[in-house]
Amino acid sequence: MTIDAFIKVDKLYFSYDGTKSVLENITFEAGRNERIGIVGPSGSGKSTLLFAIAGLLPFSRVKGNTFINNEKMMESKAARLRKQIGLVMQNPDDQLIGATVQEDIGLGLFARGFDKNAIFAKVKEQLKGMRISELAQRSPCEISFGEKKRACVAGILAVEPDLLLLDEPGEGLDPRGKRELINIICNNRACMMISGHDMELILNTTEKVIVLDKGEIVAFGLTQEILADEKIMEHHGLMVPPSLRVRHYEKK
Amino acid sequence: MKPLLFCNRNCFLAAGHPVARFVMLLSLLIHFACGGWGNSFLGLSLDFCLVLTLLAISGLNKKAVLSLFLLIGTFSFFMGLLIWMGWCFNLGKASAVNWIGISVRMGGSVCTAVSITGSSAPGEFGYLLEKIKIPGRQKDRLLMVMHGFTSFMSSFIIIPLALRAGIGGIYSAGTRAAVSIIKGLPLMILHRGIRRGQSLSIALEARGFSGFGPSMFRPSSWKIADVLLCVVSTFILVTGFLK
Repeated sequence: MTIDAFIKVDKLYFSYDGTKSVLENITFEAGRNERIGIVGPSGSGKSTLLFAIAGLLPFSRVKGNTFINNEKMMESKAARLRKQIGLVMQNPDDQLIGATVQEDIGLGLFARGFDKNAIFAKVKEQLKGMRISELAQRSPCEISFGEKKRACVAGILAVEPDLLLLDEPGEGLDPRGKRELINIICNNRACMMISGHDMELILNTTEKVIVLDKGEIVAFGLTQEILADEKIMEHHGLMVPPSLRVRHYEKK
Repeated sequence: MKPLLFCNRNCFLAAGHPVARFVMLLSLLIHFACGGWGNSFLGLSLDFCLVLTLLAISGLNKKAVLSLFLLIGTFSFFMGLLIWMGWCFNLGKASAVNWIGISVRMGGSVCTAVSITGSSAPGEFGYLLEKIKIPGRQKDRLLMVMHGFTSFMSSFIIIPLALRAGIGGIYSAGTRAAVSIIKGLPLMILHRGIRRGQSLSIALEARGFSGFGPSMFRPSSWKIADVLLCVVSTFILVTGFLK
């Protein structure tokens, strides 16, 4: 493991039923302030990989090792290590558990033992930052999908995690919402892993990218190079982002 | 005229008419065959069936529908409290505000799960509607088609049967019949509650609450609650059909 690596995943295998592997021989490292994208077709194991890193998969079915900040993710340490991690789930309904948006954003802070005043201050800051102040007292059931997504991101950013795992964060956001999300991601100094099908978002936010297909890493390298490689992208059911395609034609 | 809906007290999912029972049995068999998708599939289908059953057994009587929903709501609320109490015990720390807030939300989730229109709380219905717009996700499309098909077929057969039977809902059938018919509902609610409880427990773990052993994260897989529900439902439906 290199000195600066914040996450190290070493020969990770995972299977839900014990027969078919969902993740197979996953090995990579990410630095402390590095942002890594995970792309791949539906069902390639992107979300599962994020859950594995967050220590949310049944440990009995995970083979291989995951290290967070030089500490091995294991059952006895998972609860403590998870406090350094913020996971934005793909489906906001799986994540939002507070009775109101405001309460939900404060839950992570509450779990980390912040006092009431600090919680209120941070919640207010995140509500403002994500432009959802008017939703503070609303129930998460009553707001739109895009608003739910913003509330999820706000709840995770509020705890200022060292490792941010974003599972399809741009899904359901309007263009302005996406631009704001890109700004937020780029201004955050945490180590990040961002999965998704939105190639432009991955291109604009990450330095490196992992291409997953059928649970295996089929390519890992600089985002600009991998996403521009038409052969890799099309072979694995993906698309070169339009902006890279335009640049390619301009060069020609 | 013999009320069709109450000719078999044990068959809580379907009306008493053999055709209706057959359709419901077929729907459930389709669900079992595709059960590998677990999470929302069985739950949502049963929500549809449950709503239709509620409408059918109430004879479309507004007062009866409201009473049933109130009953389910109360039950769900207290079940939510119980589940959350279990979490508190395990988590070791939780404020009264969150305790009540999440219990209300859990109760609300289960209530809205059976009310179709407000099903954004458990998320499945709204989630599927969102997903179906995304091309290439065959699984979600198929789910939607199958849910649509089974619920359409159910409503096509059960509601006209209820209307034709000319009954006034559970009130006209007497207290014993009403109790007999609604006694199966808590089983379904319990199932939905357990499911929602599991997804919320994952969310809690991911948000930094923890302390209760291995993760409960098991997406898209059968759970004991599913198997139990399937066995019990099949038994009831098959016995109802054979009578």
